[in-house]
Amino acid sequence: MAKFEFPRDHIQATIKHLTQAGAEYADIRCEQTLSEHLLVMDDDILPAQHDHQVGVAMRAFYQGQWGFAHTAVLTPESLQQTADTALSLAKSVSKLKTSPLQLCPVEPVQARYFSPWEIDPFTLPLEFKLEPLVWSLEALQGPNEIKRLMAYFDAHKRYKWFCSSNGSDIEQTFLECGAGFEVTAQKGNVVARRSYPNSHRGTLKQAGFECIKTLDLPSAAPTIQKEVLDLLDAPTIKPQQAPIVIDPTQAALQLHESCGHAAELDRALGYEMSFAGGSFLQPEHLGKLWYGSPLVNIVADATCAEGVGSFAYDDEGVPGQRVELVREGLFMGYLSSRQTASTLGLRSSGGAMRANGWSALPLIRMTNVNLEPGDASLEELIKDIDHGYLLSTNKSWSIDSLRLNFQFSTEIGWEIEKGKVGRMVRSPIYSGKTPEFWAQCSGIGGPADWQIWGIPNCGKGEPMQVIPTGHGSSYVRFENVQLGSAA
Amino acid sequence: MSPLNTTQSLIDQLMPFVQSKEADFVTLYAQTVQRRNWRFANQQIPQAQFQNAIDVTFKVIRKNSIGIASIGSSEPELLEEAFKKALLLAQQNLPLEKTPTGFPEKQQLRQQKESIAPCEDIDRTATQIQRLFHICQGADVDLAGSYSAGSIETLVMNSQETLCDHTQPFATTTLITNYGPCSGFAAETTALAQTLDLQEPLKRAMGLALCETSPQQIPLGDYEVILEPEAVADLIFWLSYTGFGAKAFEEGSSFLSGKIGEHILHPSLTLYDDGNESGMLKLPFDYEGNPRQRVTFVNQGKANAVVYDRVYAQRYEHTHTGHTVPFTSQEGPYPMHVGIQPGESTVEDMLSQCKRGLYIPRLHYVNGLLNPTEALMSGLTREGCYLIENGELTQPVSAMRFTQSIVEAFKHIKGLTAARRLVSSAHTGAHATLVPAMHLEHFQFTDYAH
Repeated sequence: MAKFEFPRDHIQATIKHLTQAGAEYADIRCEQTLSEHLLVMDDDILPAQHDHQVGVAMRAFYQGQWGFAHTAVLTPESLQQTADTALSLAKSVSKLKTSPLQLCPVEPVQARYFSPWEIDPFTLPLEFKLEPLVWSLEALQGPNEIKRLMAYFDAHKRYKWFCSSNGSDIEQTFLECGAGFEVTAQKGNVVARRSYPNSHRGTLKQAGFECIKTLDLPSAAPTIQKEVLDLLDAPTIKPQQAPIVIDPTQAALQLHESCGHAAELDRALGYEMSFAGGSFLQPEHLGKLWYGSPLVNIVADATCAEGVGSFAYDDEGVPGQRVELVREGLFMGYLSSRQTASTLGLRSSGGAMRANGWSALPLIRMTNVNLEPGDASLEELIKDIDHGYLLSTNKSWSIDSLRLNFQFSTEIGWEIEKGKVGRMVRSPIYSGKTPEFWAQCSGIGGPADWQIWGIPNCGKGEPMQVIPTGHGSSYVRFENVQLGSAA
Repeated sequence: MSPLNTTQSLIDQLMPFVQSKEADFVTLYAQTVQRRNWRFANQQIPQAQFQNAIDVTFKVIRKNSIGIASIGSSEPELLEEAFKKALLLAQQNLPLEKTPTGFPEKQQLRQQKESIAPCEDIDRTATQIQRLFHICQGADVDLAGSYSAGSIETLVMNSQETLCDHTQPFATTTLITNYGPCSGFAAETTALAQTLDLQEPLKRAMGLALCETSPQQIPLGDYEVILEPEAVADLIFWLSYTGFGAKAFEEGSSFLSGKIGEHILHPSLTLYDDGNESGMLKLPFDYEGNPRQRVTFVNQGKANAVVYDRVYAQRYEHTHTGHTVPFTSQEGPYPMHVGIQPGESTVEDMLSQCKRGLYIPRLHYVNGLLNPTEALMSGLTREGCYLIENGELTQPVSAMRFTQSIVEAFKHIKGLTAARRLVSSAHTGAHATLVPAMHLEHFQFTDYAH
């Protein structure tokens, strides 16, 4: 990608203009994002798609109120006009004499950061990137029951330059890559789907094309084809309570929905109430509420290798950090911003502010919300289960507005009988209430099975911002889980 | 800058690309969104923003190979770069073997825009919100919400002189009121202006919140329900996503697959898509410029049709209905303007006919992927849910989870209101539903939320 040359002098002049016009604080985020999407569907390679975004976002803080505006027109006049709009919004709110917002301090930083990668996918020929997709689908084709095949590859290169009136000047470049495939089969009234390595467009990592090579998509295709065909005749499960083991792909979404969103401080303080909802994790619960069993340690880690929620500095110029959300089962911390951390009386922000591009204001977003590994192998997790289920690959998800009551279904499951994995089951559903469920966590897989997954489509805010978040986990066992079937 | 002033200059700027001789065919769409957005809670407005964004997407065909590139800018050099990228990709991409290509027919769908009023002054909006704060403070009610107003302009052009443009104004609000443990909800969207009176929805939301009784848990199981339009719209969104497009229909996962001509839902129910309907957030053409046809999915309970774009129409030898989605989407043809034909009832009539049931103003986090062939969905109730006893709202009810086949639920409709409300989809733009309130005989509640 040719790096876009943002007009540095004009950007710096615009910061100065904002402070001279009365802003107590101002920041400008210049962003350039290049995305590539490849799709092979059934027997056709669909056209490669490229998207290029270039623009500038501005925040002005005036008498305790924020104003935000953005522009893709980078002339001095446009930049100044955009700055004036941001400031006029803040001034307009300040006239209402509502209680002013406070911001935690942030140290000025001058920094340059590149996320690690070995092979830049934007430098590779198209055929090279298409090969694993085409070969996967060739291996999946054949049986009449197979109705739809899709394989995809995504890459994003994001450049951000953040500068602020307190002297920060931070340039960061991130590279993300992901790929996967899915197969849909039908027999009579039964429709089954299997995805690899995960649903929701496979996986997404902060890495180069080397991470796609390690996925080895074509090698997985025969197993996935067999599974989707077997699912068409697999039994469903009766409503019951039983222990379950969820694999790292499903654990990623479990963490995302029932821990990550619940630990967003803007939700807890009511600022997201009208759309996404609130949180059962209230400030008075810090250090007091038992979120899970003593085995449960959950962190929001913006420094995690390959996590798509990793960065050196967030979109407020706050250093990326590792925040303890749950320690040995006890609720310990939040994902926070300068404003929300100040509301809670914290000395500094937890550095979780991200926007999904130049046309969006930063919100508190999950970084990489990870369940720390335990020490059990998968065999050890299932060996003393008399009757239970092993569940894999998310199919549907739903959780209440306080992040307590959840229901997930997975693409596939297997019975566990007398400590052994047995026959396959179709469309399993499990449900629970967050702290009760995590309190029943009775085993966590070890580092050997721990994997980081990227969820590419976390939605939040009005207008909706979709952003990738990272979630690492190993296999996890829970006791007494309510199960049923979606079929 | 007003979109009214920019249409012609944008057309002039983009015209050389569609006239380019470097490709066999070029089609493009540009979407410009201008909006002011305010979010408030805790008697504060922590988010006040002005958005003014443009996205231009080029699709270039060269010897049956396609290149697609988009750019979030109208800067001349960046537009040029994106167009060249699309040309390059068309060179590099393999020709499509099975997917039909071809060119859409010439269309000229221009809009008269003189009647679109500008957005109100930001200080006036701030004052409107302040008035809500004062009203709520006086009633000891906590308010959270959002207000968004602006316009979305869509422009489609191609090498065969297709030129379609449409500017859709909108204003939309969501209000949550909390009074101790009780809560209320109201939403309002208009497609007729870039401003909205916020006090009417506030009255509705406060009416539900101002209750002396705390929300109670009631036994789980089967209930009659009266769903306000915002709750109905959530179910319709998932039906649209999983059931009304040719991709799901042809792969067999739609609840309509294999059922065309059969009576599958209640005879009072007619579900359709109409991008030209008055009162809807309109977009009379699709992203290739094809005129949107009105498509009736379910006609008086009978499964009737789904939407097709040009590609799926050719692939499955069907009539093309003008439902091409943005080129970057992989979901296949999709309806963006779903409506339900109104009934004759009112919410008051419905209440009076309900001996025991639930009144539900909104749903939360519905997911329709559990079993799309039966439209099995799960989600939750949220603010303002009340128990109905002998025609009266008697007590607020704590949030509950439902797990319900919507096909089954829609077989047992007791009433539809004559009045419909426009419900916009999470501020996503020109995408909305126009639906009445619904009275359903059966709805399964399977768990308590808290």
